[in-house]
Amino acid sequence: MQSDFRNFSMQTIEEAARLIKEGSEKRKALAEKIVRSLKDASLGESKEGLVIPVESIKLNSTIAGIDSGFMSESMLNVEIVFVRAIAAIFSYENGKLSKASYWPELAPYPEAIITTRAMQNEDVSTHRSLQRLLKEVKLAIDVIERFKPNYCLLDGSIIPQHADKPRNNSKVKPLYRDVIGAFENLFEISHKNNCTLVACVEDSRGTRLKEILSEHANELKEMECYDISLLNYILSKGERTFAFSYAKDINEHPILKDFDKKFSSSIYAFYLRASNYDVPLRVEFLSLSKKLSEKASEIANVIYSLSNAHREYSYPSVLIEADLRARLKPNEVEVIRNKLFNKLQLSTGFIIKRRSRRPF
Amino acid sequence: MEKTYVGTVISTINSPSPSSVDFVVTNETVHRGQFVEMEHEHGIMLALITNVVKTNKYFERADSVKEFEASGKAILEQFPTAEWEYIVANTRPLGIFTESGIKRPSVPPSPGTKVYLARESLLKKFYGFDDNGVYLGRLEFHDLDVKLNMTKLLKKHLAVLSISGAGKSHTVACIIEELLERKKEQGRIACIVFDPHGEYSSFAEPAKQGYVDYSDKTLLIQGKQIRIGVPNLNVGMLAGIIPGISLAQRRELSRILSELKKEMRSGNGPFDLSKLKDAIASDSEIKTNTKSALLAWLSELESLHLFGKTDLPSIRDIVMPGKLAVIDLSDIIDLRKKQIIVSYFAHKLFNERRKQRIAPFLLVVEEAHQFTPEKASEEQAVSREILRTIAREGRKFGASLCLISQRPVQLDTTTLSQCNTKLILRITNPYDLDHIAKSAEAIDKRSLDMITSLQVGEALLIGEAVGYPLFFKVRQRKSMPSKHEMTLEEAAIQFEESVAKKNSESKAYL
Repeated sequence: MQSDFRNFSMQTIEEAARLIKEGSEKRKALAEKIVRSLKDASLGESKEGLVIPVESIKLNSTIAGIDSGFMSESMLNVEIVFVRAIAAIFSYENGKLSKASYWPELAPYPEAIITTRAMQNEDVSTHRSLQRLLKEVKLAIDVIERFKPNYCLLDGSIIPQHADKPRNNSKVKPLYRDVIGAFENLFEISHKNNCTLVACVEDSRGTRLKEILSEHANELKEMECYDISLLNYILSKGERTFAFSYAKDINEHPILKDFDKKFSSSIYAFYLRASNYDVPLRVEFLSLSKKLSEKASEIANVIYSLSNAHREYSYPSVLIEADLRARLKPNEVEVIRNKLFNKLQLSTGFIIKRRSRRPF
Repeated sequence: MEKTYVGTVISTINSPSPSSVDFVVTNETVHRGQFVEMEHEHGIMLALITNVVKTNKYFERADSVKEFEASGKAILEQFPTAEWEYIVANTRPLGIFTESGIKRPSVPPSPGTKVYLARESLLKKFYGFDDNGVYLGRLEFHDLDVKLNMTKLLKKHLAVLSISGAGKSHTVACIIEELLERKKEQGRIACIVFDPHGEYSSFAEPAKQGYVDYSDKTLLIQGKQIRIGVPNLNVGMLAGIIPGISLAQRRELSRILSELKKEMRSGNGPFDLSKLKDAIASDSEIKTNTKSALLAWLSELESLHLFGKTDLPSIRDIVMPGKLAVIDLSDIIDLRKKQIIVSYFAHKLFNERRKQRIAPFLLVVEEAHQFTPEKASEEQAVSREILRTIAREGRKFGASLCLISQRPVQLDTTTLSQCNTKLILRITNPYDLDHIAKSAEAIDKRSLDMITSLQVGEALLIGEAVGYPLFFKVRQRKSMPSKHEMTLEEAAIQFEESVAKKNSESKAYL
């Protein structure tokens, strides 16, 4: 019995290994071909080449990183979302961190957002995600106005994701509109304060760049892969791609079309490789005035300088710090939950879902 | 007195419990060995800081630290690492001050309880420090003198243990100074030191400037001057010295000794070993074999040049309240001879004290492992039995023992375990530590671990005198340091100067 299982496992593993290897080799070969064929091409909205070198610079600026941690407690009649949004604000002098500030404080207690409305299952997760986004965006606005950073870095995308958009008749729709409004406000405030708004996507599943390259390399149309899987064979450490618009057609994009055109047409992205043994990082940004290629290079230099110290992990240090500060620990949530139960003096059977209180 | 807030009790897997309370340090700096207090549902809890741990999330993963450092961008320059450093102090609860006295903790304090530096008044009460007591040093990190009640410290015997050079003799010198400085109304005891290396002879010398003079309270007896009065010996004492003596030989020796003592009392005066030998040789009742064996042994004893007609010095002359007698054995090389001296005088001291003919005393035995060894035959441990007896029974008669050793593992376990107070300085040998642990119930593992990290002059006191293990810094001595405390450089200079002086004197003479 055991040996059958072992044989089965070995076969599965070998098969998986073969598939991965084949896929990688295919992508590698294709990537090499693309690099050769697009050597002198002007690509994307920035009209740059495929690969552009990035510089490690000695920073002399203030950079804010925004992140949040969240946990949710789903009970029979109530949904509680615990969110801790925090901003780490780093000031650099001659490339070295000279001061670190935090907003609203070093270790704020998580905020509990309570909803008692009955929601569909899919709305529950959208509601959580939107609540979190709203907190982050509002915090970013607050930080830009108070600290006037040169750069404000968001963890994740610069706009809400497809999954964050509720159905038209959803009870969460008003919240979604609030989030869009908050983002627009953030774009406006950052522009007004001369603060460059940048978002770093840790593990991007974007395919927009592949779409652009497909126009120049037919083989790519057939290949199913994410941008970063392909770029892994194209970019080396200290290189970025050309900058490209967030969507091919903003009127067709489910999220961008909800934004004011002034903003939706000014959101761009590029990929940057900051470490030898980590996949490229997707960087999204808002560019309302400066020449796109210049803006992209400026941002790439900053992000690269903040992310290139570790060979196997590239992510801006200010966002690492914000993540550490924002992360919620289960016992923090438990304290609030226990206080709530004490107050209600009800049996947990009336509140906690059956699946969450199985006796064994 | 205003309390100093230092931190707050945190909740971890093992803490808080009645035996372990951790707190995060939020204010001030705390040290291992420092005492803290905190509110408790039963009163005020006193705890000892057993360890202080600094943590920092950015330095938890070795691979990441190496990566950042190797990249030329130090973590310190990239992240606000200082913001992530926090200190956790592990403490061991010692007791709770309740309205009905000090109780052992059975319930922990709650997480979130505020922690303060322990007030001196609390510590003084907890350890039972006595304003009229023996001043040994200062409690480190607290503004408090360690003054121990003399009875608690010495009555049930004291063992001073450490590696060589960690301050044993220094500490004992401090105890002796305290005993010599006691006033009559405080209760004074006599102090006798068996000193194999002459480390205490400086007490008898006039003090140089800056030191307190104890020479008028000290009697120095050189080992070579010592004589044991043969008439004062009984057959039991002699049997202890003579290896393998048979019952028949003992009986004959006892008979002849009795006859000689009778003659002495009738006016013939005291006798010595040669007279005893003559009496044996001329006795017609002893069998030839017994006679020759006894004569051989007595000749061997005679060769030690230790026996005479009377005791020199007399015990009653050297044991005086508030006075010190240093028996300097440094000029004697033969260990057996030293053991015989210790054995004889210890017997005399104990017997005289039992009869209340001398003052209560503290008998200090330096290099005690030489005189009460753990693994040695009766013949090689002549003084062990009497030291065991004093350790077992001395407290009833005001005969206290202070054993000093740098090799506790070689020290007789029976004698050591009777020393109810142990003053331990730095010890590193694992066998010695194990031996101490076996012979001291009061010592726990954490205290044992701390012994290896003690610095010179730092001491751990456990047992009867304090109740709970106490770490403290031994005070400076007031008496002149012994010649052994001289540096190698000083000794070398002194030697060359003395040689040069001799040479110039002989030149001048010639």
